[in-house]
Amino acid sequence: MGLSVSLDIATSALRAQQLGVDVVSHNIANVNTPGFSRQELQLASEVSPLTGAQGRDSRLGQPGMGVNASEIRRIRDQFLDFQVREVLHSFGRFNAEAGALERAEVIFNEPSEGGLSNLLADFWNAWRELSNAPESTAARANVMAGSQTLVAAARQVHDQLRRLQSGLNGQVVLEVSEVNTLARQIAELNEQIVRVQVTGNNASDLQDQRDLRLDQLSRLVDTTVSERTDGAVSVVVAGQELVSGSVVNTLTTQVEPTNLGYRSVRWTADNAAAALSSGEVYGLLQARDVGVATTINDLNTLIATVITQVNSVHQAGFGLDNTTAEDFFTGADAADIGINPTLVADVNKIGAASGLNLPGDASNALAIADLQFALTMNAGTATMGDFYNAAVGRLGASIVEARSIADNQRFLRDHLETLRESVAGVSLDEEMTNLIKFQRAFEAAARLITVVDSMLETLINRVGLGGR
Amino acid sequence: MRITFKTSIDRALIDFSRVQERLAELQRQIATGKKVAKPSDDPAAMNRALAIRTDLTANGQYLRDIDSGMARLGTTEAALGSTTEILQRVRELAVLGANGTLDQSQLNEVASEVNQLLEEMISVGNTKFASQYVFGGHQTTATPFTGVGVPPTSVTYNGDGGVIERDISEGIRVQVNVAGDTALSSTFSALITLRDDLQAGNIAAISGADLGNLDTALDDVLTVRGQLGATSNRLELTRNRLDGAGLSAREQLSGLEDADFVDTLVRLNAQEAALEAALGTVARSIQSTLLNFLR
Repeated sequence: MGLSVSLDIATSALRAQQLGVDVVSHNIANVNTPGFSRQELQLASEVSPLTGAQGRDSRLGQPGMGVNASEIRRIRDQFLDFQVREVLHSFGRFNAEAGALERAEVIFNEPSEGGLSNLLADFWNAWRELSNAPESTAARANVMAGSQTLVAAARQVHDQLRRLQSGLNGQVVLEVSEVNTLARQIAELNEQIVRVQVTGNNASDLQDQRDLRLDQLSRLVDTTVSERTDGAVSVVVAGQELVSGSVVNTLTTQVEPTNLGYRSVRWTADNAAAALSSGEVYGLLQARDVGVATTINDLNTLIATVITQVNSVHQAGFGLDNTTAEDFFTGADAADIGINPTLVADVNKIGAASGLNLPGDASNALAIADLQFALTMNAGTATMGDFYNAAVGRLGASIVEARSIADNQRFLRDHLETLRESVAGVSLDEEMTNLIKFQRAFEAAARLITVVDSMLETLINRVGLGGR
Repeated sequence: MRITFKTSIDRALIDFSRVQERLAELQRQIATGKKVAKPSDDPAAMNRALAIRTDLTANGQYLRDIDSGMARLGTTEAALGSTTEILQRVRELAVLGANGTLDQSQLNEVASEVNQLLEEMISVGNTKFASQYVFGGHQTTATPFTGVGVPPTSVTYNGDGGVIERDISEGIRVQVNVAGDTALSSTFSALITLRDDLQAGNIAAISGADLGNLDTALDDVLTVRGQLGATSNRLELTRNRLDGAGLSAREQLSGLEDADFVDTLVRLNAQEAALEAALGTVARSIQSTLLNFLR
């Protein structure tokens, strides 16, 4: 072997160590980049082409031909990715649900003076207070004021819950379009990755970006990701392929007149309902159609009972001016409850008495107050107060349930992400050590060239000058 | 485990946000004094707390009803007290008229005093409590008794037998009025008859039937006063019971809702110490990287 081969070996070393420095630089540059996996330069020694049968001096063996930078590899544990995504959609679902129900809870404002529980108790009390002075306009005005406060609060709670529902509806639409955007980005990255890998190159950075999008997507919907041999991934959502290679099957939303005009999530291609079962979008749908909807139904059931019960007793009463057979409340439930305008205009028409010309009789007012303890709800097993308290308790319990699952999943997610970071994250200490490693090797390779150079000089300028 | 710069930072951030969540919750408990501020803090406790609050609100109303009932009974009792006094004075006058030592002109003077007491008695019968006539039954806005003629030859009752009730606790209702005609009509007729007999000089009737009528009237009034007294006692007892129940309900509510101040403060201090220790550790560990030692 000639000295030129030694030069080649030294050059391969220079090139490889420089590449090592580049990889280190890339890692350091991306230390804070979300989704970035650290990369590692794979080095292998170059085997001599003369090794084996043609070897001239097989006893000695052949020295190698230097170093070969075989691959720049990203360090990543795909099983951790899978686990993180499993946790992400579950966290997304329960976190969204708990968040929405917590807002419903705030609307009820319990326990407080202004809560419906207290206002309802005040309402019954006003009728008892009226029995202390049925002939007095002031006590009647007090009943009217208590009733108006109750009506206003019931309607406000109802309206705010409906607004919460339509807010959730809007969020569903936004998140579905986010799902579509992410799906398109993943499909695009699929295409680029396939193109890069076909040429035998590494697409580490593109893969990192795709993994990041897949994480984001998994928070929104329940995904199953599988990698194909060509390097592309397919993403299955709710039993159908959302992304397959470079093809995207988008989701859409459609107004459902049977569900108060709220939107359902469907596949654009065949307009079939998307059978989501987890993820933030599903959590929002659950909160909208189950959690908040149940709460609104409970409120409506309660207020409808208040209206019909009070009205049926009030109908039998007589006002100071002998007005009778008047409803006290108007409307059917919390959405439209109001007070009979005839009574609002003249509180003397409130039917406190049980007969004609009995100004001092408040027995009908007391009969209305008695409704407080009448078992009018749940098929005659609960009072209106019991029913309301239980409904608020149920809301609280469903928040506790969703929140505790979400907290658990968050804890798991944090743990798994730490694990993932510990595999794929850039350690500056490590990179600095590697930098020094490559720097020293580069220096040694450079020195090698100097040495070979001086060996060549010795050969060319000194050999054959003996005896001169 | 391989620890990178970002792992330490991320873990520190997660730990801090946890500790700070707990700190914020403890600070809220100390600031508000409540450990249960919303249903999801403790749904079962909240359910019971709401029921207890409803009871307390109703109790407050029952106490107001009892106070109003007692005041009404008090007014009625005072009126009946005056009635007893009037009847006793009239009885003295009847005894005076019955002993036969007075001549007709003196009997006429006694008759005129009885007539004045009759008019006084009519105004007692029209006693009001907070603008309600107490003896009129459900007819609380019209004068229950009106004298017919001057001087009155009879007294008309304009009220009815209506029962006025107060809710004094759950499902318990108590009558707080007496119908004027049952309590007072014997008094009016006894007074009118006596006055007429005095004017007519009918000594035999005065010493006979008239004194008997007065005794019957006194008995009637005393019977009613006895009933009122019993009702008053009952209201008083119920008030004491409600006060006691309110107190124990408030205690229960406090047990369900209120934060234990000492316990909360101790836990707050522990969390603060934990946060400071964590901050200190992280501050030290994120400062030391290899870069500090390379030149």
